[in-house]
Amino acid sequence: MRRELFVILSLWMAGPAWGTAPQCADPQNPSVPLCPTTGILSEQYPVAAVTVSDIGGEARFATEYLTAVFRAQGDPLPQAYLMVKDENFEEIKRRLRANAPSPEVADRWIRNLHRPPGVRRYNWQQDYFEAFHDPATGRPQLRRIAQYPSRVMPEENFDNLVRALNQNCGETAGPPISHSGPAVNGISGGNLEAASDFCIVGRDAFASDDYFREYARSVCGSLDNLIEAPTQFLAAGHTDEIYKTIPIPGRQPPCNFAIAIASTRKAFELLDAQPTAPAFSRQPEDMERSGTYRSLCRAYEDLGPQRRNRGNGGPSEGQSLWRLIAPDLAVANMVDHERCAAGMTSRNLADIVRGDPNLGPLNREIQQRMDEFVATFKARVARRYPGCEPPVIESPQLFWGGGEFSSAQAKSIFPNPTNGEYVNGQYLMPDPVNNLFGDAFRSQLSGLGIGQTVINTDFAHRLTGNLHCSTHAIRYCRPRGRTGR
Amino acid sequence: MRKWALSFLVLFFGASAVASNAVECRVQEGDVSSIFKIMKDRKGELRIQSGETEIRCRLEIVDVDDRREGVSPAVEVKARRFSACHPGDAAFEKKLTREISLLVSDFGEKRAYLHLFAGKGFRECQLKGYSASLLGLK
Repeated sequence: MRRELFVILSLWMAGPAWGTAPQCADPQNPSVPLCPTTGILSEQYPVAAVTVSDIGGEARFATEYLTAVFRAQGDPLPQAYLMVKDENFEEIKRRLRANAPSPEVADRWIRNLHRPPGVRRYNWQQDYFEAFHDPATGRPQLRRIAQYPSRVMPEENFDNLVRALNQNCGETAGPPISHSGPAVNGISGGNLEAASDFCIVGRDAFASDDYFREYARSVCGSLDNLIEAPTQFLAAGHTDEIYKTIPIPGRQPPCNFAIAIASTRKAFELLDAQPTAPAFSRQPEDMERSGTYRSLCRAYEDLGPQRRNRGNGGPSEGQSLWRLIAPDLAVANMVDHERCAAGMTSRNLADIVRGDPNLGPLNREIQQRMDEFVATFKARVARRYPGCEPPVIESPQLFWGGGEFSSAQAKSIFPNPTNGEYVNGQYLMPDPVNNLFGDAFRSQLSGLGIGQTVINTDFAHRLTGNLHCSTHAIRYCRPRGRTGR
Repeated sequence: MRKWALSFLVLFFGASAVASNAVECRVQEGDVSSIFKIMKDRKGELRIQSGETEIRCRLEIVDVDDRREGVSPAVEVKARRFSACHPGDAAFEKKLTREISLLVSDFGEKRAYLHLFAGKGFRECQLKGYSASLLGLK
């Protein structure tokens, strides 16, 4: 009897939910959209849980992300799984309490925070698994990316995460996603997106078309659902670098989304329209530690004082002593990032990108490929859902990389707005560090009735990722064949 | 005895030169072989061989970008020409990109890519003697 009592007491103490049972998402609620025919769930579905870590963005990023998620979807409030160190967990709770509109709401937010045991702190939450759904229940079903490097994310971390989710709200693990070809960046979760019944997978550097199709089949079920995204030119090779499904509030699925797509054309239009506007709205954090910004600033130095100041009406700059003594060494070692961020104009940026024999042609070709992708996407959507014409949101972006599309290893110069997260009418987006780009993107969202929360993601951008890459929203849907409660 | 000693010296110095003093990546495209070499003190060299012709360019390493935490492309090294190539060839030098890049990725397995020519992309190259410490990385 004493032993039985001990077991019950132990379970009660270990169980995260007993006594304060988490309010889990209810897939049977009639307001929840019906599940798609593919397993992967797009941003058109509500959020059951989110994951985030502190290893890159510390408590500041995790708190801003969680605050935005909780504010956007208060009912049902998503569960939040935090892979953070002790002091940051306390700091996050303190900051959330300060951000919440009332002490009662703060209590609810904090009650939904969980720290799954045996899951290491890791920034790229988007990449080592992908969230699907169980068609029988509509609940989230997580699928591990089988070939994701185990040295950075050992398999048991995924198992432990699912265990924690399962104990709280019944989420399960599905079959791992895999293919028989070599591992490439494109196998990661950030490369796998969805829109209604379509599944979007970037072509990246898969070793062959056959390998790509095999992988896409593992993700999408049938290749009839696949839309191939042109991600070959990217260093990270992920669809979320260039594309985002953004639902339009007030419309009904399946035709309730816009296509947000990287646009170098839009970027040049904006730069050309306001040539003296600053290229940087602020100096990015740790700018000197970002290889892309360093390359950009060296190219800015290369313009020379006359071209840097062309049409700016400012005083001409003198040559630095270093440049006169040893011009090459000056370029290598004496880049002044503060001056670069403060002084570079739209015209300078456009001159640098257009005038470079790699960057100019590459950015033109990227636009062509994005146009082709959007045309194909729209045609597929119109064929499956007659009369459906998703609007296009142009995300102004410029890319830095080698000059040939299929092997450019390119990176977005500024944080890319497509690499964000949609939660219940609100788009959580990176600060693009360029006012023209940010304002143009935001005004298109506002025009569709979508709110925005801008979050500083400089730390992630420096590491070739962004907001979406650093988090994971796990969604749910209403199972088909049921009428609801 | 002298022959043995000479062989030992050649082997010893030859091996240590390859082992510790340079990171090298080679691309073979048709009969053109390109070798990008990084030595100590941010110095580098590019050697292009085609049949009997060889051009060598002295380089300076202007940037080492360390993104190992990023899993995908982990380390990128950028170099610029330090002076005219030898033998001088203006047409050839114009073809080179302003910043030659070596990208070492360790997603799945270690692979390296080299970007040499303007308007051409990265090419996979055979990496030898990779050393984080030589690149100034911890």
